[in-house]
This record gives sequence, C-alpha cells and structure tokens, in this order.
Amino acid sequence: MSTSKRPMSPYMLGPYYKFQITSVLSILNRLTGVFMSVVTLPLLLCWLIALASGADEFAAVSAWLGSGLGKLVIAASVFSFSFHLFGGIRHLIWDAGWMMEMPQVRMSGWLAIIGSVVLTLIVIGAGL
Amino acid sequence: MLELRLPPESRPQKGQKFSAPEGSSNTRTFHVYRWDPDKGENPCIESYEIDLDDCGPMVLDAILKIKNEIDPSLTFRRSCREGICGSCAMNIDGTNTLACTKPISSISGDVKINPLPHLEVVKDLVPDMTHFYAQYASIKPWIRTQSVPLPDQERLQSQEDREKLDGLYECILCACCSTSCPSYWWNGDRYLGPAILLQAYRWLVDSRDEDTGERLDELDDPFRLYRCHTIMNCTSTCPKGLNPAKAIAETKKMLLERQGA
Repeated sequence: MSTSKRPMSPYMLGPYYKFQITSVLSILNRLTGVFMSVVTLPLLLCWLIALASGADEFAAVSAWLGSGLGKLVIAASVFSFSFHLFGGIRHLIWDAGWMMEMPQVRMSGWLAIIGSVVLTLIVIGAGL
Repeated sequence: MLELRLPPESRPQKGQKFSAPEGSSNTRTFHVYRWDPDKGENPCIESYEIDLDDCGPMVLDAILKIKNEIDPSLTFRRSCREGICGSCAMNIDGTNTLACTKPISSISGDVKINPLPHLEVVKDLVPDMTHFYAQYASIKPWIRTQSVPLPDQERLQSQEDREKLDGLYECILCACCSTSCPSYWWNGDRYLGPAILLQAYRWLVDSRDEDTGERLDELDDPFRLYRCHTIMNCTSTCPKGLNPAKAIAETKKMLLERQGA
C-alpha cells in the first residue's frame, strides 16, 4: 500500500455540490445576519451618537445616508432585516418540528424570498 | 474547520478522454473522478463517451460498462444494484445519491461522477468510511434495556409503537445525507451528522429501548447534535426519501421537553 497522503474528495458548493434552495437560503440567512451586525447596527449607532452630539454632526451623517452609497446601504439593510426575519420565522417553525417535508421546505423558502423582496419594496417605498 | 478550497494535492486535474465506438449515435459523456494511490499524482477527471443504446438505464450500468469495456482499473463499491445495500453512494450530477437507482435519463447533459464529498479517497470512487462507521458505533445502535426479559416471550411492541419506526428503519447508512451537509464537512470530526443522528433517533423512539435518558445525555452536546443548523441538504438528497432533518428536530424537542416544560 502506498504511503502517499490520500486526497480529500471534492465538496465545494457550486462546482461540486449543487446549490439548492436548502443551502442557498441557509447561507443567505447567515450573510444577512452578518451584514446587520457588521454594517447596519454600527451605522444606526453612529446615527444615534450623531443625534446626541449635535445638529451639525446629525446633519453630516444624514447627508451621507442620503447619498447614493448611503441609499444602497439602507436598501441592503432593509433587505437583510426582511430576509433574516422570514428566515428566522422559518427556523422557529422547524424547531417546533413542523413544515419539514421537502415540498413544504421549498415552498416556505420561496415564500421567504418573495416576502422579503416585497417587504423591502414596501419599506423603501414608504421612505421615499 | 472551515475550509473553502481543497488542499493543492487534492485538486482534480484534467484527465484522458475516451470516445465512443464509431457509428454510435446516442452517446453521453461521463466525467469520472480518478485517483490511484500508487501513482503519487493529483486526482484527475477522465471523460468516457458511452453509447447509451448499448448500456443499461442506470448510472451504475454506465460505470460498470466503463469498467468492463474501457478501463478495468476503475474502482468503486457496488453490490445489490437495487438501492438496498447503500454501497454505490456517490456524488452524481452535483448531488449525492445511489448510482444503481439514479436513471441516466434523469440527468441533462454530461454526467459528473465524484466520490462522496469531503472524505479521504482510498481509490477512485471509494472513500474512507472508517470515521462514519465509528460514529455509528458510538451511539450504540442496538436495543439497550434495564429490565430482565420474560423467559418465554420476546420484547413485544404495539402496532402504533412499531409505526413510529417507519421512515427511520429504512435507512441503509449509505452516507449520502451526512456527506451532503456543509456542517458535517467542516465539523464532521465531532458533529455526528444526519445519518447517525437519524439512527440515534430510531433508538430514542423505539418503545422497547429502555436507555432513552442515557441516549439523550450522550447527544446533549454542542457538537454531536447541535451543529445541525437545519440546512436540509440531507433530506433533499436522501435516496430513500427519508427525513434526517426532521429526526434531528424531534431529538432537539425531546431534549427540550426533558429540561422540564
């Protein structure tokens, strides 16, 4: 028998393991959670601190939030919140042992996608 | 550990191409993972063009045809050819399934065949299952009792209690589900994975087993059980149509209920 090291069989999502609604939504749930922790929450804190610091500071942060990049970050934050909300509800239902058959999982997955896009559009629409 | 790329010596290279005999009209190309432990080279993907008019309907038929007619050194496990032994579990067309029950006609375009993901390869399509079986042994998958059995009778079970094992006893331990689970790829050293957790649940709900508390104690661990994040790749891929994710959710519920609801 050879003493050479055995290779690891390929596993990467995408080229070797098909992306499916199961794994894609799981990753998206994590990414949206990370985005809210790393971007949205610090941004809201900045805004709050600016508000406490004075009118000029508040105006500066508000102006940045009104810029193109600011609007993009807000839109991404609203989507992250919406998707994470629906993803969280899905996990709560699963933790109760419900809706775990594959047709139900696919349906609730699509509902989460459509629901979060619609909620994002509603929130952004209300803000315009 | 979270690894997003294969180590350099595990990355498959392009391999040889074998064309179908002249005159074949209904051909399909199979890209098969090959690795020979005696060569000391990287794995490679070899391409075999197969005449489907001269081949059985299942992916396993095509693999056997390659072994019989093109390259007798092609190595893989197979036995029952009817989806009950679990030997021919492999990654086909990007998902794990049994080669013997996967119709070639259900795949569009070229057919990619790789060993079960994120395992050490022994040769070609044969992965090392030692750790998987050791994990199975760790849950002590047999009836564990405290009481002394009656001398003149088996341990009986009502029909309703027997029905609780439906959807669990059918598991053939092919490891398709466990090796489809990203959490098992990255934490498989300590996380038991969907197949073994479904088996563990099979003994938890067996009315004849009297070691439920002990079994729950053994599972109540941040890694062994709780690395399941309900991704559901397991249920999606199970070639027997079982639901390991549901079994895991029910196990988590049992632990919660035991805490005192």
